[in-house]
Amino acid sequence: MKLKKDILVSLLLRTGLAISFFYAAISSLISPVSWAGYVPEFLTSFINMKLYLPIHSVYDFIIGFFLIIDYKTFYTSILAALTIFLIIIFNLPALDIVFRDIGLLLMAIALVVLYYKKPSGKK
Amino acid sequence: MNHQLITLLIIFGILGIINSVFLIRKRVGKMPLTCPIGNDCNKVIESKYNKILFVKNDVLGLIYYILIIVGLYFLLVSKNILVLMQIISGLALLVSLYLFYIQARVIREYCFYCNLATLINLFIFLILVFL
Repeated sequence: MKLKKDILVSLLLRTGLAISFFYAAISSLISPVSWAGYVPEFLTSFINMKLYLPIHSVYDFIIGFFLIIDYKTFYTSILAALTIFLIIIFNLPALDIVFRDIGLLLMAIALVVLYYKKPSGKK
Repeated sequence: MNHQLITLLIIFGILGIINSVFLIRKRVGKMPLTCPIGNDCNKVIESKYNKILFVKNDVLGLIYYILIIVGLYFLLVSKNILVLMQIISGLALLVSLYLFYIQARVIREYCFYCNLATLINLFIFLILVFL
């Protein structure tokens, strides 16, 4: 992460992903009804929706915040990629809406690649 | 009120706060800024134009973004505050554009993070106009 181009690419990827996570976090707090439909059914059977959405909001906000301040970006990007992957898998019937998340997933993976450090001694 | 636009406004407020805090931390800690697009951000930050009425621009920015987010809370209670917020955001945008002009014509160097703030201010103004 020394090249200026790398810094700019990282900033763009992190900001783009962070905005998506911030949006989900804030919007589901302001308008929970719009987001309740995306929660997988098996989750609603053992956790109350009124409890789940705020917890997920906080989780999304923390991921977005860590991404934007460039804190532990490698691990945060892995978490972000996993989260988006699960969102896509559990909302496959709504692919017309979540197809954009495939782009976000690849952005998160790009960040993982960008921040991956080879173990010392290996070329 | 359009909850999507309010969400966007909060996001830009948060981005503005993070950008301002980043600039304040760098300035107070006397850490050099690395410009992602290859300009000399430090020349802009260390110039005499980085303050308005004895207050550094990054601090003014931080106060502005906090005001926007606090203002949103009151906006949900009463819509009367919207015009005031539009005026304040319009003024902030004008100041940002003036500072952009200073970078282009006087300092002849650009600060990426300052211009990021200008972009954020533009979005905040547009969202408040369409709210």
